[in-house]
Amino acid sequence: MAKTSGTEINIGIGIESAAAPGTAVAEAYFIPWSEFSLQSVAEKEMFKSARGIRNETSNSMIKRKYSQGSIGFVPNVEVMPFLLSLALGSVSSSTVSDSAYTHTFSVQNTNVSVKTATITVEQGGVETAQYTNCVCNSLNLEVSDSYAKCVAEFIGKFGTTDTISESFSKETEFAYHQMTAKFGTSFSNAAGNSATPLKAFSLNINNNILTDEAFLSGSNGIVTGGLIPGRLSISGSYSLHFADTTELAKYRANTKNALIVTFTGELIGATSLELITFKLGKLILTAPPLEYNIDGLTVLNQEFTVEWDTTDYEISAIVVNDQANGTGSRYNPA
Amino acid sequence: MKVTSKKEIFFNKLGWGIMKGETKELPEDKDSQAIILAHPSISLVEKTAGHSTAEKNK
Repeated sequence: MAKTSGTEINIGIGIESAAAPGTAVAEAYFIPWSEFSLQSVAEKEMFKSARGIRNETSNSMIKRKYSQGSIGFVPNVEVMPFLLSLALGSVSSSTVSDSAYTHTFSVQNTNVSVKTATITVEQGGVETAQYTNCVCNSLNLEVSDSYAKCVAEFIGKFGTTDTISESFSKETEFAYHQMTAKFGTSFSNAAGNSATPLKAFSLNINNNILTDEAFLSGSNGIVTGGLIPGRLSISGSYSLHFADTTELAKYRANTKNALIVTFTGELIGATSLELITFKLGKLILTAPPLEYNIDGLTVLNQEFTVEWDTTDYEISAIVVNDQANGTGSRYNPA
Repeated sequence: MKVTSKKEIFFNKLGWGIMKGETKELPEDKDSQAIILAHPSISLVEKTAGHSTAEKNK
């Protein structure tokens, strides 16, 4: 009997053509995952009418067929463009310069134009499942005192089957010591300021996918292209030592700051470096921040919601890697 | 056919890997070659013009 260990689970991802969401594409990258739960869901509805028996159900049906779950991984410059393209929706890529390409991700405000992916999951020798029309419901990033951790939650079509031949490349896997955080009144102001040492940082990009709207008459499966994002909510937190009143005053006076968080990796060309940068327009500090620790330091834990700003907007992310996206074939196929 | 790679990559099912900057012969199996050559970080090592001419004259 075949049995499957966790390390035999291989996950490939490819972004589907914008013109043909739900049409399977080949895997463009294999994700070295650390946690995983994506699978087919056959949601049941029980028939509970009275018919002279005590048992509470005498029939049932599959109410909804879809796939749902998450992939957890350490961020690097190869995997993040796929997830940022899916989470934010809009991509602009540079031509090559010093062997490096700069990919800029921003929010697609036309919410029916959400990007979709094909996610293929090889489950040892038992089955290779393929999930098409996958949209990114949320993307989380957490960094404290070790490797950074991302978790992307997906919703897609009910699984079919496929085959894969996986490959894995050795990348710079980002951790807290490669991260800097700069605050300022605007992006340009923040970029010129010194980095603020943080104890921890987290970011949550939530597309609030309107799952209920994806099921229409004629089928209990997801309509192709039917997973539409709702309101975009971006939130998170950062914590730092309580050494002066600067951060406390921001919370008390609702001082809106921009934040630039950057992970810097290895050299790509002569001078260009691997980079992942998150630029957050205006942080609204939402919770009383002081945390008193009798056996440790007093800490400010700032929870924030990102507010849209006329100049800096809400969020953008920049990845510098060595992968071309010149014809839009890798991160935003037409 | 020889290839080179921008990264250290291993193809599990093929049992074939390549180091960053290494030049290495592809496996003989055509399907394996196609899988390896489809990787965006791997490229064929082009023969120099002189070499090609010498081969033609053989």
